[in-house]
Amino acid sequence: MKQRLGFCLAVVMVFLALGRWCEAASSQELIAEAKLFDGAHVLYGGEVIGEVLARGDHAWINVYDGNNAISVWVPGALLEKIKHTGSYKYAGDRVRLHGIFHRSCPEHGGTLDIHAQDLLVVEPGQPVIEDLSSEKILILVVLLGVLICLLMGRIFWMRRAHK
Amino acid sequence: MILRPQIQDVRIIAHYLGKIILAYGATMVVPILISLLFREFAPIIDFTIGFLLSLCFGFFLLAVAHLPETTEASWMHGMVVASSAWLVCMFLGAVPLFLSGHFASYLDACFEVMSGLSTTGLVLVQDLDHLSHAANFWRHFGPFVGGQGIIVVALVFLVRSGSGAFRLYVGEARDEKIMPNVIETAKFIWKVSLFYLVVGTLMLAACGVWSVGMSVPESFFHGACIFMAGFDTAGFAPQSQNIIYYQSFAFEILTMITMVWGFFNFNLHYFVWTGRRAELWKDIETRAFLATLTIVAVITCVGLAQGHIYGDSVSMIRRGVYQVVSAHTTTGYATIYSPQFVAEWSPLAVLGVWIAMALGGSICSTAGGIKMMRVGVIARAIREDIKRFLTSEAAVVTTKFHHLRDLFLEDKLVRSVCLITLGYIMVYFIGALIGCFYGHPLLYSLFESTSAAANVGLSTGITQVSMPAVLKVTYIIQMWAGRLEFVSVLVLGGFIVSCIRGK
Repeated sequence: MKQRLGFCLAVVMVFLALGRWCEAASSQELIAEAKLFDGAHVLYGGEVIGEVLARGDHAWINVYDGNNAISVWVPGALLEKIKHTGSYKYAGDRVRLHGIFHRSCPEHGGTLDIHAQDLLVVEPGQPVIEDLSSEKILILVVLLGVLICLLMGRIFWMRRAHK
Repeated sequence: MILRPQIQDVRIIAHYLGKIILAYGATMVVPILISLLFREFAPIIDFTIGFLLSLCFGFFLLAVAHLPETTEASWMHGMVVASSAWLVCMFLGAVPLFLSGHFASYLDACFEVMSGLSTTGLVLVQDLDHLSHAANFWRHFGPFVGGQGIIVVALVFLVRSGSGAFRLYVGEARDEKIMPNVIETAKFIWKVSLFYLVVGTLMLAACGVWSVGMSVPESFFHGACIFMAGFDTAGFAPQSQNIIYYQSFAFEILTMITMVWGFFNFNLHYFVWTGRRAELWKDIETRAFLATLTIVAVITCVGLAQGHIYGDSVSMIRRGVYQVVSAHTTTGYATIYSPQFVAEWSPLAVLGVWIAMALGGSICSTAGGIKMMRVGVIARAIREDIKRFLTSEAAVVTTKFHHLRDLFLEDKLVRSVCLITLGYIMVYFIGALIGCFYGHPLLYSLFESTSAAANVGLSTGITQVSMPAVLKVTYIIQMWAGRLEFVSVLVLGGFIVSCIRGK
């Protein structure tokens, strides 16, 4: 917790000191108000989902903040911090990143993206334990019983019809 | 006077419906195998429940019908079976998805399944990025089954050849047989589709590894899913960002090729398959597609240029053309976020995409919309009428066009084409009216309604979990009716009315 607070404060201090405009934004705001944020330094956070898509000395990661996932272009040096990505079996690392937002990135064919300059894992990912519901197993057994009855009935009627 | 259907009619419908449900239920074995492959155990239970429920219902209907195998279906039976089979399959296919816990309600799961079966691609799944491989595969397998045709699946495995089989086939909006025998036609459709699936998956998987940067197992999984949803013009993707996730121009090109390939009439696939490739360029549908695609792409790009969204023309054309091709082939893959249509794109650009969606793909393909054959026929009919005014009254003006073979433009054909086109336009506007009732602007309501009825799947953001249940049901009906081209749905309506009011 202290580490998280420390990082956030450090980032804010750095940008205030540099006199640069930096704003925390959600994916909804970035997509709906893309013109407003275009070229701005933004703070964005969420869960890393899918896979880390390596492209030479950089990689794409997709960060989901609960509404949408936004593609983030990350230098190789920052990638080492990411250990888990979100999938069925894993809750991905929750990251907080700072970077430049592009409404239409000139480097990447006009896509909407963020070029990360700094990234911190605020909550490491972990395996998700599957929930094997006993109610579902009960339903399955009942259905199996019904199916066996129906099949036996069908065989009985077919034999009778042949006779 | 309306005649009440006889008990024998109900038994025939139950008999064929039971067989189709058995075939559909059997397809749930595939996600169970996928679960085993990826070592996901909870989905095995979900899909086994769906599988057993389908078998129970199918065998129950066969027991109730209790008919000999030689019983033939009439036109009315074929139409009612085809339309009701899609509804029943929606309810059964939604069971494992609902049990996955990724849907807010059973209605949302039904919406997702109908969206898949009808090859639409509108989504209501929640937290898609954490969905199991099995459930995700099932979402994409739906378009593959529904695109080729649920009835076509049953015809291959369970239904005897005969006139009854042909009537079922026609009920699923496929009025053109590729081969003289309808069972052979169904087998050909599946043989070609499976061949394309293997080739398409390999191509996309290779691109996934080398261009996108995915791991090998995920590349194959994504490749298979993207191909099934692309070739069957559905537009589902395994990740919530759709095609944006991949951030690869090569992947975009491959998906565009897949979409265009899926757009073509299955008869044209047969010609290509048998070496008659010239047919592809001679056909009225191909020519109409190239003409309308150029027009709508220009409209969209002009609209995007007006909006000054993209810094350079290459980016603008890349984004614009991709959405237009996706809309025109009625696929629904997107390289922009849904809210960007509203927030970023100019009304002219949105209109361009809307026109592409409304026009749609080819007859006897997995694509929806008014269809290129009808657009081509209407264009020829207008040209013929203008020609008639310009020539002397004694002159006989005739128009020929090529669709699989040389055909003369007849008034009867033009009339039926105009009626179905009018039907589509009416359905587009009825959905838009309901959207407007819930407070959405006309253009975006019309866009969403057309996307549902033409089985496209692009969205302006209206389709979301929080939208009213009435709107969800409206879109389900539009997707269903649009995929079946209204006739069998209207016959089902007539059948229900005759059951209630008939004498």
